[in-house]
Formats: sequence, structure tokens, C-alpha cells
Amino acid sequence: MTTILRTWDLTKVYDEKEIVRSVNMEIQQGEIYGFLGPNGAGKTTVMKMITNLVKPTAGEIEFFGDKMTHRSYEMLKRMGSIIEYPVFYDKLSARENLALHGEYMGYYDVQAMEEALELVKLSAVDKKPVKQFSLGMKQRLGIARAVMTKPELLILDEPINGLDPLGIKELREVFRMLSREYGMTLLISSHILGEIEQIADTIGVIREGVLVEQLAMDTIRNQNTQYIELITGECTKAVYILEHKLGLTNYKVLDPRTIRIYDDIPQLELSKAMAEADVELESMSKKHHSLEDHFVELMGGAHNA
Amino acid sequence: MLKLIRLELRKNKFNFLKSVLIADLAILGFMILIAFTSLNEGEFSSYTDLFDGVFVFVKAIYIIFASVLLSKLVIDEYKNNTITVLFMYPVPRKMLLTAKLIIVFVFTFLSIFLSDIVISSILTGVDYFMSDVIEGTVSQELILTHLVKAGTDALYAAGMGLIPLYFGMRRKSVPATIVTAIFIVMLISSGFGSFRMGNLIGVSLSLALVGAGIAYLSIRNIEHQDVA
Repeated sequence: MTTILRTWDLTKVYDEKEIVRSVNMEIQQGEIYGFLGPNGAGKTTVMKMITNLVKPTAGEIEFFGDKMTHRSYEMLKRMGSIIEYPVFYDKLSARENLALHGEYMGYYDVQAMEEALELVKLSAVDKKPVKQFSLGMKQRLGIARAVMTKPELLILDEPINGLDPLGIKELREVFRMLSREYGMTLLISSHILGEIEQIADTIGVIREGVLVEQLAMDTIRNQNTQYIELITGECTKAVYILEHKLGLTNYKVLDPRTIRIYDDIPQLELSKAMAEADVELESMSKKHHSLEDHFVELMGGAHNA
Repeated sequence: MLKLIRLELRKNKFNFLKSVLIADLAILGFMILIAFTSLNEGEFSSYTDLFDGVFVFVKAIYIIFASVLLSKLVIDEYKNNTITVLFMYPVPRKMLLTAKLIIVFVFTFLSIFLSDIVISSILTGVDYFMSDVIEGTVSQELILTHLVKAGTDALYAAGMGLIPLYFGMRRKSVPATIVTAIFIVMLISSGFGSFRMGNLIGVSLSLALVGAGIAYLSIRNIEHQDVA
């Protein structure tokens, strides 16, 4: 797979405050990259830097192997995007807006325009000005505008905001189709895990401007999902056994009484070893660590980790 | 560049002709009122006075007009956030902004120059056929001097018309843009008797240069600005 976009230590400072700090992102061609983080974590700023709206304070962005500078206008032809919320020339109709977009992008094609409207189920819009559109309709029109020019990289900032559940489901299908059938690479940000989880191939988690994790979904699904929780009064001793007798390394001491073991080990073997060493166990149970727990931990709970 | 200008106009659906017509009719009506009725107490006794009067009004109206255009073309794009869409196009920001400023400059220049000529001609006609309040004759020489004056005046005014850009851009504020224009108009129209600040070449020329400088700086800086 080719890397379509890569950032090197991307940093943005506003008023002496680091909004984005040393972000190293890597997006592979053809994948859906879910960009996850709470509100105000720096998602939009990163996206603005990628689309050349905001100039990085430090670091670099590489798009198709070319370094981006403030003069990289040609690169913008290969991107489609909605940043923050979709904005249009309010007094113009949907089609006028799209036509204008096509002219500026150097891609004027009525056919492509109709296809894009079809894709987001807006073909029926008439001449009414965009001002009168609902947020959901604007969101769809924004997506139509972004995909109209068949960009290689599609950047969508919170695209499901303002949509009803049915609309969200439809859009999810649209995103999948764009990725699978048109081979587009999608960078989708959201603060809603459930949404990202369902469509993303890779997830990048950003918190307070720092990219805390970047992993393929498959890896995340296999990782950290199951563990054995031990509760014991003799924690230090138990840890000693885990490490030296059983040779386990992937465990975590949550508090002086609780240990989580992520390594794959039969419960019987574990209890035997503990019994042999006279470690009294209050309880031992196999638990499921959901993806959500994982992200909540990453996004918010990292303060006490 | 021409294409960019055309797109800008399409985007805003301007109806220049209609607005200009209304403004010119208002100026004409006002001029007829003060020049040919008893309100005129010797203020407009010669053609030079009359034409200068027209110039002052026309300039005042169209400098404010220019600021309204600036608000629509530049400030509103920032306020409505459509600038984020515009600056994501594969077109250098410099060219996008230049296209907008060219529209404002050319519009201001043309409308002042043409309005000067048209309104002055109509007033001369009214005077000739109806009242003959104005003394002297319309000589070829007189016409020529005033044509040149209208041209240079319009050029200066078009330059001044760009000054509000600076104040409007600082806070992305439409009121600031228009208020600046009104201040400029007050400055150049102030004076006593037939003396007007704006008639001092030095004042007009330097204000016009300030406007040009502001336009240049805005265009130069725009590449490196963040669009927050």
C-alpha cells in the first residue's frame, strides 16, 4: 500500500498555546482513516493544515510524497473536503453552488454534478437557495460538493453532525462505496466512537493536540479485548509470580488489589501457580474489555493512567 | 484572472447597472434642486462651480459604494466562512483577492467617471434649455479640462475606495468598512465656500496611494495568513 498522506511532527501554536503537538499521521491509499478525539482536541486544526487553510508552526505534511508548502495549490485539486461545517454561497441554489465549485476546481462537468447529487439523494432539489436548507441537507450537499471532482483524498470533518439516524446509515454506505468502488481515501473525524468504529480501517486518536494512538482497526479488535482480573491482598507477591514463574509481561496493576492480565494463559494454570506460592486470591475472573473502554481510557482517562 | 472576476460576479449576483442608475438619479435630482431653484445663492454661478459640485457628490456616493462592495466581496466571505471554501481551491489566494479588488477598483473608477460626465451633461442641458442660471458658455476647452479632471478624480477616488479594506479586515467587520468610507468622504468633502480638501492634489493623491498600498499589503500578506 502507498502512503497518501503523512505528517512529520506537525505542530500548531496559537497564542503561545500548542493546539496540535508533534502529530505524526500516516494515511494509506484507499483506506478510511477515522480521526477520533473529544471536542477541541485539535482535529479540525490538523485538517485545516492538511487543506492549506492554516499554516503549520512546525513540522511537515507530505501528500503523495510531495512536501506541502503555502504554494502547493495543485495538491488541493486532489482533495475534497468539508471543514467544520459545510458553508455555501447562501443565496445561490444547490446546483449553482456545485457549478461554481466545479469552475474553481477546474473541473466543470454537469454529469459529475448530477451523479454527486444522486449519491447523497439530493437530485430532487430545485432552485431554492441553500439558505433555506436544513443542516442535514447542507451536510449532504457538502459531501456532494466534496466528491463531485472525484478527489483522491476526501477530508470530512464531523460529517454526520445534524443528520438523523437514517441519514447517518445512508451516509455510512456512501462512505464505504466511495472507498471500495471509487478507491477514494477518506479521512473522517468524529468525537463519536461508535460511528468511526463501524467504518474505519485505521483509527487515529487525538487528545489535547497529541496523537495518542494510531492503529489498524483489526489490530485494535484483537488487542486488549480480553483479560483476566485478579483481586488479591498480596499484590506484590502475585506480580512476582506472574513475571518470574509464569513469564508474563503484559499485565497491569490497576490498584494495590487489582491486577489485569492481558496475556493468553489458562485460568487453571494461573490459579495453580498462585496456590503453590500461597497467594490468596479473592477473585479471578475473565473479562471483556470493550473497544469503547479502550478509547475512553485513551481519550479521557489518561490523566490517571 | 478574467475568469476569476467573472466567477466573483456570478457568485454575488450583482446588478451594478440598477444600483448605479438609482444613485445617479438621486444625485441628479439633488443637483437640480440646489442649482436651479432659489436655494442656489450664488454657489453655482459658473460651469466650473457646477461641475465641481457634481464631482464632490459623485465621489462621495461611490466611495461609500466601494466600501459596500468590499464588504460583500471580501469581508462577508470571512464572516460567512465561505473563505474556507474559497481558499481550498487550487487557485493562489493572491489571485482570488486581486480579482475581488480589481472589481472594486474598476467599478469605482468607471462609475465615478461616467456618472461625472453623464450628470454634468444633463445639468448643462437643463441649464441651456430651461433656466440659464449658469453664466458663461460651454467651450471645447472647458469640456476638455473637466474631462481630464473627472478622469484623474475618478482614479484618485478609486484608490481611496480601497482604504476601508484595512479597517474592515482587522475585525472582519462590515460596519467598520463602511464607517471608514464615510470618514474618508467627510474628509475630502470638507472645506468652506468652493474650497474642498479633496481638490488639493496632494491630499487626494496621498489618500489614493494609501489605498493602493493597503491593497498591495493585503494581497501580499494573504498567502501566509491562517483562516481560523
